Amino acid sequence: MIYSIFFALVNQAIAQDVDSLLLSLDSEAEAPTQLLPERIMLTQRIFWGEKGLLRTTGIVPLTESNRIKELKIRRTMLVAHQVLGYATLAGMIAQGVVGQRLYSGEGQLKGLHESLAGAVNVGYFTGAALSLFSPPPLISRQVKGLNSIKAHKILASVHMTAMIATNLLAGKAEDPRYAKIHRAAAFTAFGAFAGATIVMKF
Amino acid sequence: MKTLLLLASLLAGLWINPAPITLKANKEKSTIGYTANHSLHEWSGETPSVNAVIVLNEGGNTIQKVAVSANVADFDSQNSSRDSHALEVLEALKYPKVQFSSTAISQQGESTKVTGNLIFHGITKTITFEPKVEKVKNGFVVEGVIPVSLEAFNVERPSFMLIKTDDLIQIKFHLEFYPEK
Repeated sequence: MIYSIFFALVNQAIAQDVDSLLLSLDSEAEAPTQLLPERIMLTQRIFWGEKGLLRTTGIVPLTESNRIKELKIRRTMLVAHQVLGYATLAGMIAQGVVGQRLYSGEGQLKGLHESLAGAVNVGYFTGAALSLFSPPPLISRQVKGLNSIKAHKILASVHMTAMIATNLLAGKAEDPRYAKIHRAAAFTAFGAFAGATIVMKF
Repeated sequence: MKTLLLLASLLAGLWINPAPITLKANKEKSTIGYTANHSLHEWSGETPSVNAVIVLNEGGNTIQKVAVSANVADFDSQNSSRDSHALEVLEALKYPKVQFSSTAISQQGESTKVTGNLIFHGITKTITFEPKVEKVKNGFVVEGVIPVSLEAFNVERPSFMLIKTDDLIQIKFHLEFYPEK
């Protein structure tokens, strides 16, 4: 009986020691993870920021349980962004071939070129929207120097500008002067878009 | 009567037992990191914000217990997008910490074997590893590598280009314990 009391006391003391060790560490731990990062992209802040539309209207209040759901939505949107990106890139390659032949005088390809342009535009702008309007990440650290995500964002601003220019110039592409600029803008969009896809890595 | 005296002396012995020597990890010199792998490349992340403590024997020569705690949000791989993705799969809002507490430490010559509970992604699993323990002038330097299976801790492996990262990650630690000034 004495032995059992002794061992029970020792075991309890050890268990308390380990628990109290972890508790002593937890009491020193830094503040818990914030629900929103300090820096949020403007397009995301409009909807998902602390004073964003979805918060102020009460549709999605800023709570931990909502943020957990938002992060799942974010992941789904970003995976769709990736898949659409690859599909759009394939469409751009096809468009490059068709566009080049059209530019060389194969006028019968105009209909196909316009259909492909429609598909590429749908893929491109839907993909962009999925990234721009997704719920914000949990953290957004400023990292010194160039890394894959920074390069991806820089190239995204280039291909977005070039895509808009390509579309604006498409209506005037019958005029050979504008056709050249339209083609240059399209190739810039394709180059920057392909670059943005390649530089991304997990 | 004898039994009562024996019990009383046992209790008194426990009560007057001197306070154990505890050393905390020096945050400026201690780090915990991880290395993970995807088909495209390998990367690593590290946290400089480590909370760890060791309990020494009365002579202060050997480590009897160890406890470590770190916030998963503090691990930085120099790529905010990747870190944010990692926090999503680790469900950092629900399970903000990764913790370890030893249950047994055995020392045989130069080698040390540590067994304890690793709490990761809200799941507790018993692990055993052999760290390198070095007794230095005023304290201890402990370092080593622990392989951890993400799926064993119910962590959904992050994927990129529809390819998942490898299941096994390596947790690397370098902890320096000194008396607090």
